Amino acid sequence: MRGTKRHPLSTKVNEEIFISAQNQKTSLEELIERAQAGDSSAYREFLKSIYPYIQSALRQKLGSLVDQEDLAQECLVGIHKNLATYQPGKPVKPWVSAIIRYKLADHFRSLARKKEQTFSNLELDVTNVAEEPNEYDEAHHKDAVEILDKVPEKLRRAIELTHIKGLSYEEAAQKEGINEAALRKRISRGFSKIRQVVTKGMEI
Amino acid sequence: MNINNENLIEDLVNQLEPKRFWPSQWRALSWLIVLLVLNSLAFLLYQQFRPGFLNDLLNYPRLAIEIIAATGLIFLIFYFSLSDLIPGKKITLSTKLFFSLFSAVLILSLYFSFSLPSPESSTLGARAFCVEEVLLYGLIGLFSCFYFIKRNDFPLSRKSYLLIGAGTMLVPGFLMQLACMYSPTHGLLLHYGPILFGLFFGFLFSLFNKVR
Repeated sequence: MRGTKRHPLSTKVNEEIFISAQNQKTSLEELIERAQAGDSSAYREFLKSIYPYIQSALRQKLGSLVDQEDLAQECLVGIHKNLATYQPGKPVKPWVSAIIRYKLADHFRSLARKKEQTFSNLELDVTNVAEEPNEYDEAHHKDAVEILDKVPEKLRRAIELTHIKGLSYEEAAQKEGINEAALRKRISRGFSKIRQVVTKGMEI
Repeated sequence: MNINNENLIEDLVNQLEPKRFWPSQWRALSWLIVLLVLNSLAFLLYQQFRPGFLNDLLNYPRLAIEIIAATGLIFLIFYFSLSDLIPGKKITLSTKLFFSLFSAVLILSLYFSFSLPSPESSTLGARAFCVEEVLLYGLIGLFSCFYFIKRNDFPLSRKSYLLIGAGTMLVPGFLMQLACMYSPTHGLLLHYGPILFGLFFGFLFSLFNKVR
């Protein structure tokens, strides 16, 4: 430490933070051990004390506030279900962090599944326009049209010809004056663009 | 903290029951003992163990080493998998080393069963359906283990599913080495071979269940 001169107050403040962190750590472990023994008040105090830690961990990973609240509650339920797996005498935060990590992974997995589902529903709806125009839901139609408007013209036309007007790939390629492989590429890029638009819309 | 969270915490507190932590090594040991006892009983219901198998264990160190290594390996497999159910639990390096050691000893003992002195190849104690028995008892053990695991909130990793599949098949496999006729090729193919099925079923379970 030779040559570095620290402000005496900063050292003192750091020490205080360290001591309070140590005290909190000890008390969290004591609380959860008492909770395992069936002490309700200790359990209540533990859940209330750990909640800000869960929130701050989630804040770093999640953008949406609604998701943060929901997931923090799921983490609390996870802690409750896994209470018997806490090993007395071990630090409590790695145990809680592992539960948070698992809940986060689960959340992202279900989110990805939901987006995938929304996309496939949209694709289905667009296909149904040609087949069952009378039963088609007006609101969905409007949404689909709005989304399609955001797709570049060439790509949109490829999707419209094949998935809305129901032309075969060969016929659509002839109409566009390109070969079939190029048409498939346009359709694929068009759907990627739609996926992007839908994903962006869901995030908002 | 908003009112919803306060209510949730109150609900959780009301549902609190005393819960005792049970270390993974004790749980693994109890799984091992239960599976060994149940498998042995199932074996005996169908047919006696090979005559003189205890003498063979004492007189042929290679066979004894094989059985000890298999038992140790099954215990460690259960220990790994049950530890995986504890959030944030890390497996120590020494445990991993033991796991590698037991696996290596078992593989080497099977390899050397073709050259080192072993109980003489004979049809003594031959069981008509040894491979079917191993598969049946192994699968029953495997389904029971997965049933207990499924009740847990914290999911296993895919690696643990595979390990449990192999471990539960290994139990009747190594017991069959003592119960059935002795021949290294027969043992390797029909007694230890079903471990591959265990791995397959473990993988299948991991596909249909939550994994970490």
